[in-house]
Amino acid sequence: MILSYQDIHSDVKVDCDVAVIGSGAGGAVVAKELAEMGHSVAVVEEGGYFTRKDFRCRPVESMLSMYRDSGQTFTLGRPICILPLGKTVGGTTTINSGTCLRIPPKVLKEWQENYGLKELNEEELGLFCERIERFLYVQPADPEVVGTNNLKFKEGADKLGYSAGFLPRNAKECDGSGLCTFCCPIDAKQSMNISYIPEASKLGATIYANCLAEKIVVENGRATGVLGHFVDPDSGRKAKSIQLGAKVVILAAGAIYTPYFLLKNKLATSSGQVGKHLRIHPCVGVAASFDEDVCCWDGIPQSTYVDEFFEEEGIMFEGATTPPEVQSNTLPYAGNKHAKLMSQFSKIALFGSMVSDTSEGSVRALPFSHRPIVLYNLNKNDIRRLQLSVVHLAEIWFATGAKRVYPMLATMAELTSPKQVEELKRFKLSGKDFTITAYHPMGTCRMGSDPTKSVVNVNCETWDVKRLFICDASVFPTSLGVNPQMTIMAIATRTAAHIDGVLARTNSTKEVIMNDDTV
Amino acid sequence: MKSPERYKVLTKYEAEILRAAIPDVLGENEGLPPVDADRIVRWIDTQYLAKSTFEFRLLYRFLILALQFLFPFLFGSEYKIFLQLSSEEKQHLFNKWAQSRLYLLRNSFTIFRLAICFAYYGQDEVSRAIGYDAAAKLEEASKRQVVRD
Repeated sequence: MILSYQDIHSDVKVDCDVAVIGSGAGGAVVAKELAEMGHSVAVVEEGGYFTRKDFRCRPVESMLSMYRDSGQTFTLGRPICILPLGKTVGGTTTINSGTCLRIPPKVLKEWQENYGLKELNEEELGLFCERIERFLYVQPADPEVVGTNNLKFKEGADKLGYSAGFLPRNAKECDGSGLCTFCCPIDAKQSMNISYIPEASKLGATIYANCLAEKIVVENGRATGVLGHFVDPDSGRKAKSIQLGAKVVILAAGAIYTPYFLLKNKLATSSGQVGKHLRIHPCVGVAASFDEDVCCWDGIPQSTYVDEFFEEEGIMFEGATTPPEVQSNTLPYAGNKHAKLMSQFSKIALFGSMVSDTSEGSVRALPFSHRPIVLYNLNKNDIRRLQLSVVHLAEIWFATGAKRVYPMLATMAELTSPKQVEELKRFKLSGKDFTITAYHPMGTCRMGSDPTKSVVNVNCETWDVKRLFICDASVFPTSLGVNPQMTIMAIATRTAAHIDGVLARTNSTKEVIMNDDTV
Repeated sequence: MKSPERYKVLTKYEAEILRAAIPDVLGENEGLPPVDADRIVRWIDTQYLAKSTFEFRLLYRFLILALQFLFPFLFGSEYKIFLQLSSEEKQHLFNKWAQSRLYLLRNSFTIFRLAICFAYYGQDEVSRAIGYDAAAKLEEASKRQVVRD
């Protein structure tokens, strides 16, 4: 059952086995898995529940209704980074590109060796990934619908001999509408709102949309419930209250709001690590103009990749296009010069790059603020790799026949020849020169084997509060380097299996006590 | 008698500055339909700012006032307020703002322009003129729904 604000006419008071806060890649998966194991599950989601009927193919409408802060979330620091987050049933999966890459083996190895997470092994996670991939129809993007933008970039990479391919995606019968990041209009993308959440609902879980969790109830060092309110989506006013009693509470609000929630509630903070070690995968984009039409809005926006520089530099190139009203803002200039570029928009292509960052930011909760403060500064190593990204993006665009390249740098609005790429290599850029976006916050409640250096253990249970689990990218000890949703889902599936064991032990203990009472 | 203009978020003065800025932020080109600055101001006020966070509304209004009083001084040689600038001077200002080495300023231009681009390029006739037909996409999408097995 999926209930929204308009379905709730009185205060809600429910007892369940598991209360889940958040319905994204972590919350939805753990909810469905535990419901399938026979547990009663309730999910609270701050955002609304939308279906394809609510969608009108205009990005702004989606941003205003499905993105947190209407898509205006950003980090403070050098530079300021736009950090779009989903606030809807399905979380950010509803508005992401659908890329499903597994955790890179070298990252897992680092987690095992440096953070004492030996129990997280490739074989076990691989089995969970297979299960998820089957459920979400994960397959490489169909070359027939990847679109000219992606094909052109891959062609350029192939010419230069760079390793490239088609990205695995959670899409079934995708026809390349090109609107993944504003909610798929034909339900091809298997985001949580049309896959795991409806399945969890079928299995008996109740999903409360437009419902803001405010407090986790802790009794004798154990999480025992969640308190919150429904919120009128139009006015933002608080409405009826919700009180969930639970044997286990799972916090899955994402790597910005999970630490914010813990800091606000002063929960699980003894290690001093909550909100620290924020990684975001800083991204840069480079546009290019051609003599011929590219029609970058046609086809799957994120469907090809170039991983030539991934192993050595942690740089991953992935497609990223959007409709004109959004993409117009990525082009340089203003006034007539900008209008001239926009009038030739069909000839403009765009590709992006993300860096597996070593810079660390933080999430802070100020006493009188009702939203987190996110701080993030790029370090020299990441600046160097971002510059390298721009250089290679430009190089690949020229290799595939671009006439002009727009690197989105303060120091250089456009490049007109490959020679200028060489000049760009020699530039000494600072963090302030880039236009950065970021899409993957991680690491703010890191997992580890040492309670003084981590927030949760290998089973994602907080060291401080028993029966309180965290199931989102905040548990990642380091940057992942690839899109995180598959790893979040795999760890959530693993956590669900562990919680099932915990609940089984609880129930058997209760039975023994009851039998003793009877005796 | 014509009723006075009312805005949800902006003051009349802020709306006037924004209205004067829009044609020169977007520019002109024969491939693009004409800019209706009035409609864009209304859209930004009622559809964008009214649905944005309090902090963002405050920031946007600050940028409008900074555009009027501060940026002409910062990006121009002689001091005039924004509303006194010619179209050419306004475009010169916006290009300097867009390419500023000061990242806070450059980012603030992105924020300022984004709402205007949303409003203008989000119109069906404008996006259709550059080849992107959102209405046709919607119609096509409404005919198809992928169902899970």
